[in-house]
This record gives sequence, C-alpha cells and structure tokens, in this order.
Amino acid sequence: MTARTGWVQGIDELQHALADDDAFRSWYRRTAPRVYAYLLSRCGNDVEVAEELCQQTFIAAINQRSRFDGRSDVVTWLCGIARHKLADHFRALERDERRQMHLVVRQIAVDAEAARVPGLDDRVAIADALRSLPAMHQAVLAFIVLDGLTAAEAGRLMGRSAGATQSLLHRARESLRRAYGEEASDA
Amino acid sequence: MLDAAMEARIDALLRRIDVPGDPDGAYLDASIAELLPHVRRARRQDRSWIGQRRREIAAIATPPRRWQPSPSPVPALVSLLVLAAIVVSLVAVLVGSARRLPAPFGLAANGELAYVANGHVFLADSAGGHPRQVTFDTGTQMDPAFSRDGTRLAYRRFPAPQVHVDADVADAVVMDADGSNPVVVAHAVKGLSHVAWSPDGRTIAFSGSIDGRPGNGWTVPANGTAPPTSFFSVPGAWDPVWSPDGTQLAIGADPGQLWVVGRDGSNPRRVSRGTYDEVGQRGEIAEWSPDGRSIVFTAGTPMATQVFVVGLDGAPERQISHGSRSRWTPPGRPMAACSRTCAPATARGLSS
Repeated sequence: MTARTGWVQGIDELQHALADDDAFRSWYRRTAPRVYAYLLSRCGNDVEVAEELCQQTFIAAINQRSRFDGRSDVVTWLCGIARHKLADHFRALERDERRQMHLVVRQIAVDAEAARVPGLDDRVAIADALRSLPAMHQAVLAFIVLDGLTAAEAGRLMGRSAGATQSLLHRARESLRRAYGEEASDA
Repeated sequence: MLDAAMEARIDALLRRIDVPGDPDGAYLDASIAELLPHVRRARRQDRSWIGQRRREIAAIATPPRRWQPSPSPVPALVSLLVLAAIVVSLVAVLVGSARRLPAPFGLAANGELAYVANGHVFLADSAGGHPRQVTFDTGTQMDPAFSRDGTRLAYRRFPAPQVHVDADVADAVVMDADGSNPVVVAHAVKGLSHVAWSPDGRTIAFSGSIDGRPGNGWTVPANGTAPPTSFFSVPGAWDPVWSPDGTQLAIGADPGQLWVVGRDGSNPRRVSRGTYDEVGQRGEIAEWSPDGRSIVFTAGTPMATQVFVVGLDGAPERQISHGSRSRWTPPGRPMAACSRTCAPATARGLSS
C-alpha cells in the first residue's frame, strides 16, 4: 500500500463513518474502546473522567474533521485529540487544586482508605497513587512516561518550558514513588 | 532525588497500568445518542459546503453583465473584425489539419475520476488526488457513470449495505457531477443493470424489472421528468449499450443472445446466431464500432470466451479471436483483442 493510498483510506474511513448514522455507530463502537483505553490509564483509571474526555474527543473530531489529512491512522489522530483533552483536563484540575486545596487533601485521604482493602489489585493501587498526585504531576507522567513525548513536547501541551517540565518530571516520579510506596505497604 | 535506577523502576511501575480497558456498553449507547446530533450537523454542513462551492463556481463562470459604453466605437469594431479574422484562421487551420474522428472518439481532456468506496461515490482528480465524497444516502451506491459531456453522473443505489445485484431492488439516480441535485429517475428496479447514458446525455437506458410491468429494457429522461418507458421485452434482457448515434441499443438476452433494437423499441432483431452460454460480461456486453455498422462482443462459456464481430446486415457473426475482452481502436478499423490474462504484451492488433 502506498502512502497516498493509506491517506485516502484514512480519509475514506472518516468520511464513511460520518456518512450515515449506522456507519457512525459501527465505527464508533470499533474505535471508541481504543481511545477510551488510552485515556483511562492516563487519568488514573478514573472511569468518569475517561468517559467524559472520550466523549469530548469524538465531538472535537467530528467538528474538526476537515483537519484530518489521512497521514496517520484515524485512531492515532483521535488519540492526538484525546491527549489535548487530557492536557485541558489536567490544567482544569490544577486550577481546582489551587482553589480547593483542602478538599483535595481530604479526597486523597479517602482514596488512601480505599487502597487499604486487602487483596486489592496492584494496578488499582498504582492508578490510585497516580490519581492522588497533583494534576501536573499526573500530566507529566502520562505524557512523558506513558506517551513517550519529549520534555519539550509535553511542556508545550502543559504550557511550560522544557526545563521546567524536566524538573516537574523528577518531582512527579518522586511523588509517585512516595504515594505508591505508602499505599503498597498498607495494602 | 531519585537515581536513574529508581526512575526506571517508577516508570516501569507506571506502565503497568497502561493496559486495555473496555468502556461500559451503556456508556457507548448513551455516548452514541449524544454524538449523533453532531454527526448529522456535520453531514448537513458538508452538503451545504458542496452546494456553496457549486454556486461559487457558477458565479465565477457567469459574471454579472454590465453595459460599459465604448469611448469610441470605431476602434472597437476594428478590433472585433481583427479578432474574428484570427479566430476564423485558427479554426480553419485546426479543422484542416485535424483528423476527423467519428463519435464517440475525439479530443478529450483529463477529467475527474468517479469511483465507489465503502458503498459511496467519490470523485478524485485524474491523478487520484483530492478525493471527495458526493453521495451520502444510506445503503450502497454502485457503478457511477459520467454523461459524455461530464456534467452529470448516474449510478445505482441499493437500499441495503450488502447487495445481491440480481435479486435486490435498486434506484437509478442522476445527479450533477459535483454531487448536487440528485434525482431518482427509476424507482425500485429489480435486477437493475448498469445505467447507460445516451450520446446526447438526455436519456438513460437500463435493464431490470419494474413492478411486474412488461419489459426488461428501459429508457428514461435523464432529468427524471417522465417515468421509464420499455423498449425491449425479451426475457432475461440485460445491459443495454447505445449506438454511437443514439438511435439504437444493443442488449443481451438469455440464453446467450445479442439483440439490437431501436431506441423507441422498433425493429428488434437478434444479431447473434450462435448458441452461447453467455454473451458479454456484466457492464460490458458489447461495443459498437464508431460508424455504428458493426458490434464487437464476447461470447462462450464463463470459462472460455471468444471475440466476435457482427454487422447489422443480417450476416452471422465472425469469430476473430480467443479472449475475454475487446475494444475498437479510435479510427474504427483495427481492433485489439486481449486474452483472459490481459496484459500489454499479449495484446495484438487485428484487422476487422
């Protein structure tokens, strides 16, 4: 398959998906789980957040359909949009943290209680630990560790310089280690 | 401060949560219900965009006329005369040097390509670039065919996504070449063949069965202003092909027969004499010679076909080659025939 053919196929897939309701339903059921899975792991297995961001991703994709040039797989393109939605989410979370710091602290305490249930799956504990971190710590770990972006790329998403992002990454790793270590020892 | 090994351990730990997680089924249903209005709005916008571009193109092609008085009529008249003389000279040179070719052969420019993908008709430029969807109906669209002047497009529209061409009913649809103004010219035709444009672009011919009415071959105005009219009633008729002057049609009939009939149904006659399992192939039953006096067609069994030429003078057809496809070359004299494994190296010129 030539590159041009690939582009045309990608554009075809999106156009066909939007051509009628049944085609969209079929396409959505095929692609949404992949976008959802991408989001779920990056927001600390928070199902509500993943569902909301997944929905926002598809609405944005429909509204920005003319921007898809077919150079990537449609799901890759969707995950790119999802990443921006995730960045928006983390920024909003950070703003909330600043406004309601005491509430966040209380929420972390509740989550820590939940993590102490005996036999809790290891991945759940990791996700809980991730979710207990400050928003920007979650963001930098998601974008650099899970997505493999460079510090500069992640920094652009989060509105920070590359150097600041690199420092943030060090602090985020330390935070995660502490959060998970405490919870793991309790579990 | 973490050392490199600890950083790697933290990262590995984090990657353990990067595993597939399926969304809840109820969420998917609710999400689809919420997204569908966005999809429908996008569809309306796309259609509106196509219509807007069409109106803009039309506006460019026909700019508003304004009367602008010439400052001096004499120079303008002289200029017009000189221009007319140049045009006449150019036409004389071109006509004198160009070889006269009978219709439908002649000079042509690269136009657009129409093709079907995922059940919809798309247009692309002659290099395959800038593809754009021009049909948006549900079901399956097939076999787009441009009118000879390239301004309109006819196609078959099946209501279901999965199509059994011979058993399902379908509509014959004609629309402008940019996808606007689709008109259903024939409703619910069972076994609808490909749709064939008359040379003048005013009429569509097709075969199939309509509401149990007598007739298997039909013509209908391409603008859909009148219902289809039967021109042929031999059982099992299929795939009409217009003669170059548009006065007659060649059409297949079961079992393995080739007929020619006037466009108004007059003078139907079987022109093939042999006994064949099949004549032609779907969508390409036969091809008229440019002068309209003979027809080349393939016939035989599905596994072994031969190429035949038959005149309209009542003489039996002549087998000229073994092969599965055949085409007239533009001058209308020699003909190229290809074997089933058709490739440039196997093509050979034959004298008719």
